[in-house]
Formats: sequence, structure tokens, C-alpha cells
Amino acid sequence: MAYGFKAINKSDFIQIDEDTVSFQILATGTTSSGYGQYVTIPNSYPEDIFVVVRPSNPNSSSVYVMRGYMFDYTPSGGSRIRRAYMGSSVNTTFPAFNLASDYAIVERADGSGFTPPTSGYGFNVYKSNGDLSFSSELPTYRVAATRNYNITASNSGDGIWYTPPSGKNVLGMYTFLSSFDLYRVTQYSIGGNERGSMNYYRHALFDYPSNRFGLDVKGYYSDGPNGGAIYDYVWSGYRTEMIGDVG
Amino acid sequence: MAYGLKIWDSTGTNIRLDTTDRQVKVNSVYQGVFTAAGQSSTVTGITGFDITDETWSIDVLPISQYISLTATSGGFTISRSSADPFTLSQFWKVIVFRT
Repeated sequence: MAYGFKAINKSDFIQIDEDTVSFQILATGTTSSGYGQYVTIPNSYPEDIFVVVRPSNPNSSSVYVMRGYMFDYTPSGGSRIRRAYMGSSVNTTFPAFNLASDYAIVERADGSGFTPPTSGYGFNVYKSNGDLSFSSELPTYRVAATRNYNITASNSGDGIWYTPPSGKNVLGMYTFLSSFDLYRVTQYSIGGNERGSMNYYRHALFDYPSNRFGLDVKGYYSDGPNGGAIYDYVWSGYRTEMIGDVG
Repeated sequence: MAYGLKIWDSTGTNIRLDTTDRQVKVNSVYQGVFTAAGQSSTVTGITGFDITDETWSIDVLPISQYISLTATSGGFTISRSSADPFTLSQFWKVIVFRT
């Protein structure tokens, strides 16, 4: 039997329904400047937590790139370490990724970090078991667009993939901290036993002057060892990129 | 005319949801450990999962040139390349969202 609540927008996307739990903002902040900045994710947070990021206080006349990834590692005999690494930079051939980043930690509304609001006003949606599914009293990550891209050696996804509609600006928007880092390493013959090597990185691309968002892929060459192996290793398969607003 | 749900917070000025917005919604999370190179893990039975449908989203950890993922209808296979020279165990996690 159908019951509950469902909101569908003009583009036929389900905005809210009673069957699925929404993600809402648990914490926001800004990292310090400097390369290798990270935010610690408490181990008490759910496994499906995610982080959204943007360059902090950018110059709207510059194009920015961001690197970053989620780090999750348990050393032998040690405690689990969960971090979200991030850094931004004005886009150059060799970006330093040492500028500050704004971030928001996004957790499922029925996670341990949220207490269902009891203000008596606003709009709360609950699942059939009584767990909170959405609340207007909690800020949320409002997705403007997503892209599922099948990464291969020959298809990096490099380029602009989102231009907002009239009246909406990329300036201020956050991207899902998918993995923006080294994703492909290849070594190849440049004649005889001579080898060349390329490392490819993927970065989020905030093109503020042109009001666009996308993916920036950069490749860096180095000489390989004489007679070294020929290979092409790729973090391949479908990945999702998102752009949206926090609030 | 745009339609859908638009919600403001109690200040009346902050939009919590606009008619063009989509929410990220929980679906499922999978994780495991590759104890050696050359291993893979397959997950099936994710009802309705179709990565070519943009209302489905996927996040794959870690980022590594030795990790690959093949999505199928209702599931995926994540693999650690046999070429991975590292001998330590490798934690992996796949999060499936709806948007």
C-alpha cells in the first residue's frame, strides 16, 4: 500500500520521500591554508558519511582547482583513521593546492549526530519506523547536478560538464569530495628501450569567470627507467561527481 | 511553470530546498578488505541500481590506480590489480546514493 509523502520536481527527480533518508549537514568549517590540510572524521560517524568542498573566499575572476580525497585506514594494531583531505589553488600548470577550503560534513538524517528538531514548526519527514528522514530545521546539501562518468585510459572526463541556469552561480557552490587525486599511471616506450612515464591527476574545476564547473585532468611527464616495464594502470569505472549548494 | 517542493527554514530567508534541487538520499554502503593483490569482490542485489541512470550515484574508495570498478545492473565488482606492488591489505568502500 502506498502511503506517506513524496515530492517530485519538474525534472522528475524525487526531492524527498518517506522511503529514503536524506543527507543533512552536520558540520561546516574552513581549513587552514597550506598543502595537505585535512579534516578528521570521528569514527562514530556512519560509514556513508560524505564531505562537500569548495575553494574558500575565492577571487571570482580566477579559475580554481581542488584536489582531495577521503582517507580511511586502520594501521595494524592501531586505531582507525578517517580523514577528508582537501586543498584548492588557482588553476596553473602546476597548482600548489595550498589555499584554504570550505567544507561541510554531510550525514544521513537518521545518523547519531542529529536530534530530530522539536521546535513545533517547519517540515519534518519520518520513515515508517519513526526515524527522521528530512527536516527543514537542518541545513542540507542541495544537489544541482550530478554526472556519472566511466573512467578509462582513453576517457578521463576532462572538461566542463555543468553550466548553471540563468540566475544561479557556481560561485558559492560545493562539490562532492569524490576522489580528486592521482588516478592513472602509465609507462610507455619512447623508442627502443627508452621509457617515458605519465602521472595523471583529476581535480574539481571551478571556473568562476565563465560560471561553469567541471573536471580538470593534468598529466605530468617524467623519464622512465631504461628497459622498464610497459603498463597503463587506471582507477577505472564509473564515478559520480556532484555540484550543489549547502544551506 | 516550475513545480516541486520549496522549503524555507524558520528565518524565512534561507532556502532549505528549492524546486530545482535534488536531495542526496541513502541507499547502501559496502566495504571490505583486499588482503592481497589480484583479488576482487562482487556485490549483487542492489534493487534498481543502474549507473547509467543519473538518479543513482556511486563513490569508490580508495583512489588508486590499482583499484577498478565495473558496474552492472543491480551490482558491481571492485577489483585490486594483480600488478599492485604493495603487500599491505587494502581497505575498500563503495557508497551508493540516490539523488
